[in-house]
Amino acid sequence: MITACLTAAAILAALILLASVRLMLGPTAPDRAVALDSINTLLVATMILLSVGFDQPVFVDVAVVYALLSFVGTLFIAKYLNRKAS
Amino acid sequence: MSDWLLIVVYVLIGIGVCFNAVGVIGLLRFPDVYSRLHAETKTTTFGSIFIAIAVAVFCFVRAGAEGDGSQVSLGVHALVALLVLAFGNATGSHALAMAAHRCGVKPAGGVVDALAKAQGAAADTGKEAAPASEPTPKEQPQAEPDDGPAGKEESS
Repeated sequence: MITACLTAAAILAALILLASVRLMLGPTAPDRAVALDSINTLLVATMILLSVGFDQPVFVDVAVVYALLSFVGTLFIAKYLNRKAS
Repeated sequence: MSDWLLIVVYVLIGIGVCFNAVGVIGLLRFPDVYSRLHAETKTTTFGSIFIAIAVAVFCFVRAGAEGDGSQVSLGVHALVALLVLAFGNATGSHALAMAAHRCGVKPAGGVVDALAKAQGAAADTGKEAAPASEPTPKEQPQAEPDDGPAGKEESS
């Protein structure tokens, strides 16, 4: 189980790298915001897996707080894009 | 823990990783912001929810087998993370799609822009005083004349 969790976390880390390609390439600002949102979600899943893999229950708390903060950050990016458009 | 429970956890983790991979491929391959949001938000949220469910099942079963209290707290916190992901991603993607539309990003290959038409019709009827901070009053007049303005503008 520990090996499976760490392997899945490694695959998710590779997926985060792939998503950061879109973060760098993205032609418009909303594209980059979408890529950042997906990276945040993948990172939360990776933290949950790593907390089982390393047997550290604290990592899940970090993941919860990170998910909340990334949600607020996405809303603020959307608000900023709204204000820039009008 | 028993073998078939371990297999269930493996299958749940596998489903989660596969859905996340599909979401990232869609993020890389789709042509515009809206289809990227469509591909990315749903599949990534679904995959992460499955990973959280797998971790919660594993922790609860191990806590039942070993009587370990920290495993129970790990499982409960994984479920809390699941709830936060499910609600936060949906709301955030709606806000991002609205912001992208206001930035002037057009759907690639799109023919009809119903939201722009509805906002234009609302602005024509004299409600231009509502700024960008309140999108709801602009969208309310769209509800009753659903097909009317769209059909007229296409025929002209």
